[in-house]
Amino acid sequence: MISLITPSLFLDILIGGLILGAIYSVIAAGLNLQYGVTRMLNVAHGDFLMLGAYLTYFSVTLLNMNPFASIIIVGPSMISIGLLVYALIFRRVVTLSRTAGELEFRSLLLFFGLSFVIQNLAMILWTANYRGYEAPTLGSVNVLGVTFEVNRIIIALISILINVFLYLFLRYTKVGLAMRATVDQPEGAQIVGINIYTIFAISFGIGVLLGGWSGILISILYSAINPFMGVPYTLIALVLVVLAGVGSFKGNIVGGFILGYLAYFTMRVIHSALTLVVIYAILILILLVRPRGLFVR
Amino acid sequence: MYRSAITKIQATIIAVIIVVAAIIGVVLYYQTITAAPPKEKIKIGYVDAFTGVFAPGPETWGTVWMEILIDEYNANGGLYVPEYGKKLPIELIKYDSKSDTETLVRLTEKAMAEDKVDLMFGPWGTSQNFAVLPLYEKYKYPLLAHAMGSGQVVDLILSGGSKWVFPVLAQPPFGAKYVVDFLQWANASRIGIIGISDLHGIEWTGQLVAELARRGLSDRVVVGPELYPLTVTDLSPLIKKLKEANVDTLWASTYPADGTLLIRQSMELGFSPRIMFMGPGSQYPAIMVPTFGVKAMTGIMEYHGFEVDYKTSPKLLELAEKYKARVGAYPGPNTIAAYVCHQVLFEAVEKYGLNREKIRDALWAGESFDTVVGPAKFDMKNVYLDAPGAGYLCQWQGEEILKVIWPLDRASATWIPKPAWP
Repeated sequence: MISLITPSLFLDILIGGLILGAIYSVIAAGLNLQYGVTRMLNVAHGDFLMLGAYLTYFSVTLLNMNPFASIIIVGPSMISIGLLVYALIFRRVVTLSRTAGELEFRSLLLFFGLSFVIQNLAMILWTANYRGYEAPTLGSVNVLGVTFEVNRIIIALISILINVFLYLFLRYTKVGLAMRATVDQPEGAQIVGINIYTIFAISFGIGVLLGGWSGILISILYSAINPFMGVPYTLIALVLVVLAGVGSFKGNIVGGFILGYLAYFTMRVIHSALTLVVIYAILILILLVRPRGLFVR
Repeated sequence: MYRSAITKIQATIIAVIIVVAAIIGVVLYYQTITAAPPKEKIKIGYVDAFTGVFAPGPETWGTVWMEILIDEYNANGGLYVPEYGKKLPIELIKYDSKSDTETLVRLTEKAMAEDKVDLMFGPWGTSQNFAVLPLYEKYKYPLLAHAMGSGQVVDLILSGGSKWVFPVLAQPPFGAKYVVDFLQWANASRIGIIGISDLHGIEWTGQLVAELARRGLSDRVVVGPELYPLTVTDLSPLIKKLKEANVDTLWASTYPADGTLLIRQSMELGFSPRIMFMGPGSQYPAIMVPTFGVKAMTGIMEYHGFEVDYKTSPKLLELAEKYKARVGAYPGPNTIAAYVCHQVLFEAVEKYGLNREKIRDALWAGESFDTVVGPAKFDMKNVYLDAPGAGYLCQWQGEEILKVIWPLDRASATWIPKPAWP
């Protein structure tokens, strides 16, 4: 039943949707970057998120670190894992593929396999049991009579900051510009001297890093870390990439907010059981109007 | 006239010898074909999700208990089988369904039709039990469904559509009666009902609503039932709804991921109802204790159709310690159902042998067997394992092992209203 929208409910939806949207956008950022630059659809994205969550868990429980600070461990580890996986598995596929379509298809199959390998390796190493750590509980803050969780606000701010850094990196650094050039004109980029294979490796590494970073944030919100926790996040990221448009970093942020607002509004005002129905209905509608996504150029 | 080659007497003797030899031959042949073939061990098939998205379920629920039970029997020489007049060691043949239902079905059929195992252990999860149910009927194996809650299966059994399925947990239609008994006793006046949108959540919230309606208590439900998707990442919109409606009783059908989310967000948003039912998501000490600590968990209540307090008997506590030695934490109060029901199965084998039809008939007739929780028998009118623990409700009360608080005559502790979050 649709509730009457009062000013405080409006404020709640305004901020609540923003927080949720920011979290969605950071979950999808890595996948969108990888797919946009390299044309490799990383369906193991959620599994890298899972690895980030486990690394956070071990940083907190073994090293007594604050989970927010665990990026010191998770960051270098994930980027190394990303570069290693690229070098061992994907570099050869990239060089052997003659077209973007061929690369897309071959890498998709490899990512499916990689997903199973990562999940089962995690299970062998850490068992299938759920794991959780005591995340800091910072209570709530009252904004004009509406309460919001401080933890989520911090996580949303971090998510926004990550997106801003990513935007600035892509907009103003040489490597970022080379990445954007590779997204727009792969052949042209090579002609002007950009080593697209290095760009592919860097994009892959950053994508895995962003997946791991999402894992930190998700592990603070949830405490059911297990080898198979990543699957739903891969789905969220894929929906967002389709909605935003492949390789559109602006679209990734705006699309995240659209999803966030839709989910929050439906649960808060309509009925929680309709959350996915509303999200997918809007997604279909957008794709009917703009088949290549909202922000693709 | 000529003389015959043998006399009449000789012919009679020969005839008698032939008849006696024929009789002996027939008897020996009959004995040969009816005698039990030599058997070295009892093979039990167990197909479940040891990898994949469902893997945490069997790992914390059934597998550990089944292995503990088999180890105990094997340590004493095995399982006594009357037709062999001796104990035989038990071999557990495990196959991994990889959380894929098609694989589960295929491997279950392999275990039954090709491996010809003597008995089967059922899988974890309502949907997985649904998937293999026809195979158990086809190959005539008793399915002791220790991790399944479904009104649909209850209907199927009551309508005569299934003869080999034995649900263990108090099923939602029956379990909901216990819960509403408690809610009336505790004077729950403003009830919120939420849950995860899968078979478990749908069945339990649906039956709870139906039972409240049957007792004329529907007006006490002020929020819900609201089911949220499995991929939920934010429950604050729902929690705010519950808070605004001044809910004093929350019923939440959860799994661990959304269960921890609900607790954490409720803590941060200051939502702490007097009665807070969660389950089965919040029942596992392995995750709840390190995440929130027993103090924060105090007051949260659990339901799942079968619950025990491990401190109520030395044997139960010994089992809980064995579980902890393997898993690293005490078991949830509900998981023991997997041990108890297979104890019933083994007792039935020791009495009726490996004739599965005889075992099925004994279980179906409600024959009582001794188990670690006390006498246990299947009640196929109400469709559950009638044993101490069935339908009981538990509560976290400041320690890792939960207390039984309902029904009152079986309670190991007095119910306490949930205190505010620490």
